Amino acid sequence: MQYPPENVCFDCDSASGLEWHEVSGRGTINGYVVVHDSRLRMWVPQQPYNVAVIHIEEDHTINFFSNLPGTKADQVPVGSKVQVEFVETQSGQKIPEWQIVS
Amino acid sequence: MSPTQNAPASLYRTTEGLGVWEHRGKVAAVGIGHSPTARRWDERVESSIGSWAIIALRNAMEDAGVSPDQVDGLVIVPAATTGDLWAPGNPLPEDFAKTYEPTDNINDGISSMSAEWILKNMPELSNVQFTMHARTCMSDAVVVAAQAVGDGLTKTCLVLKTWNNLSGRYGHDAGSNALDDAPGNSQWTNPWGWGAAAITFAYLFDQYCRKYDKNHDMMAPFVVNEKRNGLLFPEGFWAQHRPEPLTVEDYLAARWIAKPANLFDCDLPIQIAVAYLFTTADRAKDMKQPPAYILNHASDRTKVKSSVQTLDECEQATDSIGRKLYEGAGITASDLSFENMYDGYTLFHQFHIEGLRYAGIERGEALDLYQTDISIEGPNPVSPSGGNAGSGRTRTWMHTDCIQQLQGRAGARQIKKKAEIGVSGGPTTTGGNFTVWSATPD
Repeated sequence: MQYPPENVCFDCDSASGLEWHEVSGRGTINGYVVVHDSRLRMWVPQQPYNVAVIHIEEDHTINFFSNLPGTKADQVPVGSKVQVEFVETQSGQKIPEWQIVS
Repeated sequence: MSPTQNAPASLYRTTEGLGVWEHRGKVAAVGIGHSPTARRWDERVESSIGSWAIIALRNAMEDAGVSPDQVDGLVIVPAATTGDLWAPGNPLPEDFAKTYEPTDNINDGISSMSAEWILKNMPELSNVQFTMHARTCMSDAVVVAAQAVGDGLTKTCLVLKTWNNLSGRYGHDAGSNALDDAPGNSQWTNPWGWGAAAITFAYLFDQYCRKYDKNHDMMAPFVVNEKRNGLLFPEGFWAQHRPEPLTVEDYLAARWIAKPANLFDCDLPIQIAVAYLFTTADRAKDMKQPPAYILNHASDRTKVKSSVQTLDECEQATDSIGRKLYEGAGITASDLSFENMYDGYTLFHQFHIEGLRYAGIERGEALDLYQTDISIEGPNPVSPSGGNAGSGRTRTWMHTDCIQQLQGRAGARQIKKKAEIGVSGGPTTTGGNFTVWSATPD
């Protein structure tokens, strides 16, 4: 597996054999960073904010980012289980986010 | 001459099992040339990276005792910043446009640097027959030049890297960083506020601390030592402009940028040009400075499988670099007198030196080493250059220091133990280029 999606295999640069895989949407919080000084203009008003890294259940080398909505800055429960949900950003993009389930 | 090409993959040593480098001890760096430094470009022609590149190149030739007509090769990194380029449509400062011959690239001499620009504006380099561009930074140019000299593509080669820093906050107003949505590849990072390399390396460090039961405070002796060494580097930005020592208390009290990365874990973007003169070992013997021989070079072309490099991937990549360097140089970790691996976020220096097994450390032990005597006076000098943290963002201090240490002219930074073999390179744990240097060719 590889993520984000690309049109070639990250390992062999070939496009043949690539296909979409459906996954459970479950994962684990592997770690996090608290951003206090972002380069991204649209994120400056949110500072400080969490960016956690989620390992999906099917393959722990595949990771997703999450702001863990509802979790206070620097209060991230590393190791907790999470479930994906798709949310719309302020600019209308739909992205995978993650909610703590245990 | 035909337009300068990027270095082909065949010049890099990227895999294990290649054996001892075929040009081991047959290529050397002799001359060093640094320009002045500045925090940002003031838009005067005299302080453009074009002007400073010419100064650095002339200084390197003078240092080696080589006349311009003896130079037959030029290896340059065209990219001159990881920040902002001169804005399209923004007219060049009038003096700059009057002073220098342009190329097709409006940024040349201001926020990029091609071999063509140098040859147009340094007519004294009349015998250059070989030019090549290296993609990323001086570490890349060093290995390209080493292999090119070894292969006989050039006999006396100038190697150049420039860094520019325009006005404004570095990277804050450029590209997708300034947008309210996330187009292209930024769709995989920006929607969560993952927007700078500092975050990537803060995350890797977070993983490292969890795995090995370490903490950010343990970085303090290393960062303080970096600044101390940097203030002993007369060519460096901090030594020239802001000779302010850093204390453990300063480090621990610094504001967070992306916790666990604080202000002093980040380097300061500056304006500078740095050049070296490379040649064959035979020619080097007759030059003005002693040769710093190259025993091997190796490169990492690690691909990251997902959104961010994992600690496992990082450790596998840096372990492999260590093995490749030692294999090609025909040495072991115990042969290193010192190391100058990259530190352009301080939080990944430990990955590099653990990959080397420097000073006998294993995985998870670098921060323990930092609690011992890692100074230039001690038995295990760590980064005697002071790196980017000690002298500003150039990704070159580590190479300059290796050459100077082995030549015995590192001045106040000269390590107390005998400098026999050193190693330098970077930048990151997701790809880089590395070199083993020696005071002798054997």
